[in-house]
Amino acid sequence: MNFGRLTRFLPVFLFVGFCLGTAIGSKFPWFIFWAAAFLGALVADHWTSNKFYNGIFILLAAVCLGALWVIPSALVDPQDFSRSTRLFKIKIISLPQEQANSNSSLAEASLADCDLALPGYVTVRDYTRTLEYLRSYQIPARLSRHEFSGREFYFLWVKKGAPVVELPENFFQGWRRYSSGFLLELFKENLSEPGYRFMASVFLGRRELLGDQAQAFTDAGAAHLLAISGSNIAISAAALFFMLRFFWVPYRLSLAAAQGLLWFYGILAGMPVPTLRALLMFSVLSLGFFIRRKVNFLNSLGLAGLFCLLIDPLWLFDVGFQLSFLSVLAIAVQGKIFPNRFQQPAVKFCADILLVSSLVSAFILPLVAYYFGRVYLLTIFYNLLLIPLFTLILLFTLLLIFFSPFALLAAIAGSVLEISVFGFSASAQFLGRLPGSFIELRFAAWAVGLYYAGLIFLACRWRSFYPCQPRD
Amino acid sequence: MVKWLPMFVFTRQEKRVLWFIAGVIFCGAVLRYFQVTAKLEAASQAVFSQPLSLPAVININNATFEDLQSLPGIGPEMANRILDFREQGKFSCPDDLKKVKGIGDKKAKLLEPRITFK
Repeated sequence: MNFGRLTRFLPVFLFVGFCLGTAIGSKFPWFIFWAAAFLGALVADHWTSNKFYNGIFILLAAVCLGALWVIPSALVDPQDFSRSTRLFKIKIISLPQEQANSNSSLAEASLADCDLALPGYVTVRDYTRTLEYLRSYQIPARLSRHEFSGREFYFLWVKKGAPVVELPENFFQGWRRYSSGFLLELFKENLSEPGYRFMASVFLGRRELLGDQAQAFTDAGAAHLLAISGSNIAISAAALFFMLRFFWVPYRLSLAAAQGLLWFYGILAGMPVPTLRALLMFSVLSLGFFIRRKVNFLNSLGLAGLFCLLIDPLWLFDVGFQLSFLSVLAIAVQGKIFPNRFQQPAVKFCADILLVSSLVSAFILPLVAYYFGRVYLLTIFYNLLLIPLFTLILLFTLLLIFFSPFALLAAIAGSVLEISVFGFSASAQFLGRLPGSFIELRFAAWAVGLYYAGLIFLACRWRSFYPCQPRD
Repeated sequence: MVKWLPMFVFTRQEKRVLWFIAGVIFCGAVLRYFQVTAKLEAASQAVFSQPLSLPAVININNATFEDLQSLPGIGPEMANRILDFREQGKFSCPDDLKKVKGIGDKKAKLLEPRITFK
C-alpha cells in the first residue's frame, strides 16, 4: 500500500484535527492555554527538521485552532439570560404553527441591548399571534430552558399584548421572503393540501408543516430524505446542468450557472447545516471540474466540514451535522472499500443503493440509537423503492417551477408530482407500519465511541486484506 | 511504524499555505474572543443596571408624521394616509384603523399594542 497517497487527504486530516479541538475546547475553554499551545506548535514546527514531528505539530496546531475557535461560542450560555424579561431581536425562520392560545415557531435570537447572538435556535411561543415567517422583530420576552432526552431546548415566551416592533428588512431578506412565498403559493395552487405540506417540507425545509405525517416517515426510516441535503442538491444540480447543456450553453457557463442557482436555492431553504454541507461539497467538486482538475470526494467533504465549523463551531454538536457528515463519509468510503463490480445497469443500480444504504446505516446506527433510541432494520430495502420515487419527485418539482409561467403545463406537472408524492407518502406509511421496521434501542455515549473505534479498526483491516488498486 | 511517516509530510508550499490559513484563523479567534467577552459583560450589566427599554406607546390621534413612521409596518405613504384619515375624524377604537387603506387585520393587530386612542 502506498501510504504517500494519504498526504492527498490533507483537508480531511485538518478537519479531523479541528473537530477534535472543537470538542475539547468546548469542555475546557482555556483561551490562554490553547493560544500558547498554538504558538508553541508554530515555533516547534519551525525549528524541527524531522518531517514526522512537523506533521504532529501541524495536527496539534489544528487541534488548538479548533479549541480557540469554539471558545467564544462556548462562553455564551443562554441560561444566563433566562432569569427575567429582556429585549430580544428575533428572526422567525419557520412557518408559525397555530396552537390552542399561541403560535409556535423557530427563531434566531439575540439580545437587543448588546447584540449578543444566542447559540442555536429558540422556539418562540407567540401569544400575540402576530409574528410572521422570515420577518425580524424586537420584542420583550422571557427565555426558558427545557431538557428533553438529554438535550437542551430554549423557549422564548412573548406575552399577549407585548409591544412588537417589526425591524426593517434589507433587499436580500425581502427577496428570500418573496421567493419562498412564490414557491409556497405555486405548490398550494397545483397540489392538494397534503401534497403542498409535503413539498413545502421537502423542497423548502418547512418540516413543521408535515405534522403527524413526519412520524410515518420517521418510522419508515425515510426521515433523511426529507432533509434538504446531498440528494436534493445532487439531483437539482444534475438537472439544471443538463437542462442548460440541452440549450447549448457552454460547459463552464452551465457549471457556474447551476452553481449560482443552487446557492440561491440553499439561501431560500434557510441554509440548514446539511444543505450548506452539500452546497460546499458541490462547489469544491464543480470548481475542480471547472478548472479541469481531478477532484476528490473525501477532500471536498473535509473542506466543507472546515468551512461549516468556521461559520459556527457549535454545529459539531448538532445532530444534523453529525448524521450528514457520517452519511457522506460512508458514501465516500463505500467507493473505496466495496466498489460495485456489477455490469448490468439495473443490477448495478440496485446494488449501489443496497451497498450505500447498508454502509450509511452502519455508520449512523449508533448516533441514531443514541439520540432517538431507535435502530432501523429494514431501511436498506425500503430505500430501493423510496430513493427512486424521491428522485422522481424532485425532477417533477423542478419541472413544475420551470413551467410555472404557463398555467396549463404547470397544472400537468403538478398532477404528475401529486401522484409521485402520493406514491411516496403511501409507500412510506405502509413500510413504516410493517412489523420489524425498527426496534427501540438506546446507546450510551461509551457504546457509541466503542462502536466507531471498532468500525475504524474493521475498515483498516479490510483495506489491508483487500487493497484497492490505484486508478492513477 | 516507519511506513506511515509520509502521511504527515507536506511540501514547503503546502506548509506556507497552511500556516497562512492557520494565522488568519488564529487572529479571527482572538478577535471573536474579545468581541464576545465584551458583549457578555455588557449583557450582564444591562440585566442589573438598566431598565428594560420598551418601545414607546404612541397616541395615534396626535402623533406626528415622524412618530407614525416609527410604528411597525408604517412607511411615509401609510403615515400620510393616517394623517389624511385623521383630518376627517379621530380614531376611537382598533377597528377604526382598518378604515385606512392598506391596513388589514394583521397590520392592525401588529399596531394595537403600540398605540392609544385617547
